[in-house]
Amino acid sequence: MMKDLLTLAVKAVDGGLFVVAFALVGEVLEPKRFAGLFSAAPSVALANLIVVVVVAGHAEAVDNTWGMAVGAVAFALAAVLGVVAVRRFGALRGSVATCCTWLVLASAGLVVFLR
Amino acid sequence: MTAVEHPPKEPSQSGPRQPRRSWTRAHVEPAHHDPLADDASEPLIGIDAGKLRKVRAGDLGVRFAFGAAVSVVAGLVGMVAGPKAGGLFLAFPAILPATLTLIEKKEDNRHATNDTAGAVLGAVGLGVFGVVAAVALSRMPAAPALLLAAAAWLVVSVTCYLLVEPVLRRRARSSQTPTDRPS
Repeated sequence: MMKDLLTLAVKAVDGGLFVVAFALVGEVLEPKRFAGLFSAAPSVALANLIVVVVVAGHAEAVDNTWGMAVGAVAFALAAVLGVVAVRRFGALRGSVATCCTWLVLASAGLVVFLR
Repeated sequence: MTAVEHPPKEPSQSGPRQPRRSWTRAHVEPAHHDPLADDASEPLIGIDAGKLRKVRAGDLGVRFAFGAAVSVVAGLVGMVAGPKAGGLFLAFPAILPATLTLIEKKEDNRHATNDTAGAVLGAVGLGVFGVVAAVALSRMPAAPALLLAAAAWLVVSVTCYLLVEPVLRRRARSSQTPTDRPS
């Protein structure tokens, strides 16, 4: 239990730091569509996979990455809808709609490809 | 920049009818601005390191919080539903609300829309990252495997951008219609 909590805490700090690092890279890039590549950077994935490999080994990290690949497809599809949603409804509602769309698509992907 | 005039399109080609105005400036003003169209004068790829001075600690704090939250959720889902389900959440677009709202606040909705469009391309690279990482982690130590996967993400995302961006700019230029007609 303590080990799980400590692992989660390390993942949280690690994930936050990686996101900040990639966000800083995105800040200096132009134009915005190029900088947007870094909104889908594997920052959280890299941060978490490093911890998973150290704590649980390669096998669990491999399973994580297959799940991530399916999640990334859902991300790409959700972001296509997100372009329209952000334009019509503004950044906050548009991005929340994108996240909700991702949840639906990722759940479907989990059932179809990852069971 | 040299002003360019384009012959007015037929009304059927230009979409909703725009009110006529007399020529007051010798350049084309688009009747409908496509928010996906970056200015043609912007380079395809640019870096402005000076922008780092304008980054606020609060904005970074928000992004740190989102990154930490996604990591915790992915970890919890993995504990409850298995590592594949947990891995799914490693691609959850939780960073988007923070990034896009900050961009919209500092700049405008057009830039936020463009950032989202870039995220589509980045997500394609993210999928490639996942596949490369899965294969590489099975065959080599973690450090080179993850570096290889990260490089694959960068190469695929940037390649997609370099293929798509000129097409979008050409489409934006060709869809420009004059709102003024010569008197």
